[in-house]
Amino acid sequence: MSANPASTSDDRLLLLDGQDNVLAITRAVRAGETLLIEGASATVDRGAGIGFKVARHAIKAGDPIVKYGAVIGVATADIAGGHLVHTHNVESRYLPSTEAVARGTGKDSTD
Amino acid sequence: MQGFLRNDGRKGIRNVTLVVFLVECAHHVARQITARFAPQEVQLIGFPGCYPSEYAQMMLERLCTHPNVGAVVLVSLGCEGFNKLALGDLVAASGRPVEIVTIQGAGGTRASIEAGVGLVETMREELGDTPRVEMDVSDLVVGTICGGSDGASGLTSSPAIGRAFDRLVAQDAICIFEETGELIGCETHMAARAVTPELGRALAASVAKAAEYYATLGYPSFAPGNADGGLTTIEEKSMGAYAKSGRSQIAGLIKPGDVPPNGGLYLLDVVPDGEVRFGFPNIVDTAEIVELIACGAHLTLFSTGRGSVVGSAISPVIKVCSNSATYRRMADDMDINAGRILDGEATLDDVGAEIEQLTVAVAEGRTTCSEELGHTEFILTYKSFEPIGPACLPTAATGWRSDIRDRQEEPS
Repeated sequence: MSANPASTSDDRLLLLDGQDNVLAITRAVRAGETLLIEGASATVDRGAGIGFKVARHAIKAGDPIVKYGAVIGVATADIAGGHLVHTHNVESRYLPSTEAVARGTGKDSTD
Repeated sequence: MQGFLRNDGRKGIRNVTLVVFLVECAHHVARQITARFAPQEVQLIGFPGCYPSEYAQMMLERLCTHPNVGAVVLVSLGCEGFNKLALGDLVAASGRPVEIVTIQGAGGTRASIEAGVGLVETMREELGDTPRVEMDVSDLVVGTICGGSDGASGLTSSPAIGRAFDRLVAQDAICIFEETGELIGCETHMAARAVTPELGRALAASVAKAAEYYATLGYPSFAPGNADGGLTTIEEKSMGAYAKSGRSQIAGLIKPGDVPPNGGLYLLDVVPDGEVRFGFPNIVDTAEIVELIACGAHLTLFSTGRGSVVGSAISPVIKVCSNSATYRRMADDMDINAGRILDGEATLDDVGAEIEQLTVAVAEGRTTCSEELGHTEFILTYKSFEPIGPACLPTAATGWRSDIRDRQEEPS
């Protein structure tokens, strides 16, 4: 599986795993800019630099946020493709214990 | 590739002579002996403490019998707590030349330095006869760590090392990742990758132990500054470090000094067991590299962004730099530029393949940047561990090393 965004995506966006619904920003993007994401145009809603991320496609409130092929949080609002995915629309679902694993509920939805 | 064959069947990619101080009071003499020789050939390691430590004793046993080590000179003051005779006997039983210089008996500093230099010269001649044998990727033990990370590390250097790990594990190499304190939030994902559910629970428990340990020390894992850099949750931050492990199944959980029994991916639990006694689990990156080497690592893949310069005694370090600016600014110190991924010039898979190729080349004798510059960092401090639990090595049916079995708890 190629980890590179499809050649039809802006070269400032990096897909880390084929299962991800976010793309990492590798060079700064400005609010209002139009980005090509896998052949479709999307508008950036907030400017951001390297290390931030945008939605690969539309994400619904309650959906898991997947990066590196792993769940890194849950959307707290609907997020349009190309919009910034960060603390304003995502919350951690981390339980600071081993209980989830012990109960057998520890399977990531992506596995 | 060709390796240096040792009596225990393991094969080394280097053939270094170690000069080992057994207490800080012997450090100067050991350093002066080492300084007479080339850093790639004769290297200084040691333990500074005067009080005995089971952990330090075990660590120096593993390091002095590491496959990259050909000969050993132990330097003792004479009244320290370290059991030098037990260490000397163990190294001798491994078939390596070993001598002990005791400063109080040898007549002080000057006489001890001259005695040590003479011993090293004799050993260097003997090492010329070390048998060379065919060596394969499946004979390699490769560790990984990160240090001096930046916002790009989790996007480029760390996942690229993960790709290299996937390629090495597919060829039956042993690959080891570590630092459970940086894996908080990855427990469920990691548990699902374990070869057995029991191992999965042990992996998760090791992270919970780390979380508790760091909380006791007063160091939370997710700081406000992380969100300023684009990281949204603790899970995401940890995933950036965890990405070094790649996507293979996890074959086992080991502790410092445990040599994995066969090919596969292993997690090294570096956080001490029991109550917090000796401070930080690892005070600096080099402490983690040393523990990887004690688990048999022939070399270490080091992910850095701001720019670490360290190498290591015993086993070479390959520096993988996350961004092109640091790579260019510190070109002499960086082996691989993963920043090409940010520049749109390479994919993660490309850089992963490049790391794998360099790993093989270094195993064949090519020197890394830090070796070229004479880096031979080393540190060893007080820690304490319980043996690994019975669920930790489920794949150990073949090639099971007795020294691991001895340290395992009996199933209750």
